Amino acid sequence: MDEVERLAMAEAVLTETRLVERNADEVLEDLVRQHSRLVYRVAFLVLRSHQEAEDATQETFLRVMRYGRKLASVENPKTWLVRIAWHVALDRSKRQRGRRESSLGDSDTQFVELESSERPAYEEIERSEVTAQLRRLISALPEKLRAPLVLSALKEMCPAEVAATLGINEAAVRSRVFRARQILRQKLLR
Amino acid sequence: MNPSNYESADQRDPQSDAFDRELDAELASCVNVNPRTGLEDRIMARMAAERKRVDVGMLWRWTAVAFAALSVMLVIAIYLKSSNPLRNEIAGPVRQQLGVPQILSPSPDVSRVRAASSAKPSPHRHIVASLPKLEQFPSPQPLSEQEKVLADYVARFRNEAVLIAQVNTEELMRERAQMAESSGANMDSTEPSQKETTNR
Repeated sequence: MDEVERLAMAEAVLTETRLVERNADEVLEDLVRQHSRLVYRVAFLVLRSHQEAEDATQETFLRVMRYGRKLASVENPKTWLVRIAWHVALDRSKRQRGRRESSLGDSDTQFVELESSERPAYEEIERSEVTAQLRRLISALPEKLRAPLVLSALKEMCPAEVAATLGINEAAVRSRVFRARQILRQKLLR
Repeated sequence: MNPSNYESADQRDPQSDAFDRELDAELASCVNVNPRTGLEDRIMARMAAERKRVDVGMLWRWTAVAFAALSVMLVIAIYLKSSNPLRNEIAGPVRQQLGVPQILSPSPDVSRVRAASSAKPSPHRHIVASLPKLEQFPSPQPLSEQEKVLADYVARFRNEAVLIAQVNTEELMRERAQMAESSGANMDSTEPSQKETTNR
């Protein structure tokens, strides 16, 4: 009887181990299927380039892959992934900026492509200038304010998730977004 | 979620509204992007390639570690072999069989300490230090085949061997005595002739 019990226990342990091993791959695949788009958008918010955003997305999941079996124990994979993606994108952005500064001439010349519309051309130009300036101002915001502002714009993220991603509470998210918008408004209307 | 909702209504004016619209439009333009189709598959493929690369890397690393360990073991084995000469290994059991006391060689630690204490690393010094110094000179050679057979015989038939040895010894003594006598006689016969030659 004892031996039978022991055998049954050993079999159960083996099955559990196999499940854990299979789960690591399955969990990773699920994460990719469910959140790759969100990760891509987070990366794009920082990098503003499709190619760079895709590379950052792949790098994010490669980092996640290194967690292996610990993946199953992550409590909130969505916010965790967004946090990793945000940091990966920031790192890439810094590297990009460094490369751009080291290469001559590229940084000052920016061409804005105008979309055809029914509005007059001067309005379009003015609008595109405002957009470009807004973009510059957003990227010039301190990290503490920029992250809540930008992440709050994501439809997939509720305020609680933004707060969890940034490691602050919801009230802090709201106040930071408010301050960020205030600063942007002041600078733009100046 | 619309970020402009965070502000209260009384803080708004037409300019602010325009700004909010611009900002929301800008943020929306960044947020509503879609990756090229097949992003998930590309990520999965990249991860599979990375996993394979890591596996190959691990294999190479373990191979290198195993090779290093093997070579270290080989070096240690060669060192130990060179510090214990072959002759001691051969002669040891035979001496034990015959009851001959084993010649003690200094421990390899002593020779190592001597080698380490020498200031200049010279190849000659290293060789001298690596060979153990024996207490007996010349150092005993291993027994030949005939000697081994003899030793075996003595061990088996001790009494007969003693008798044969006594007989042989007596014969040897007798031969020596005869040879001494004959050489004495020759000396006597040659002496007068020498005297004669000197007289002449």
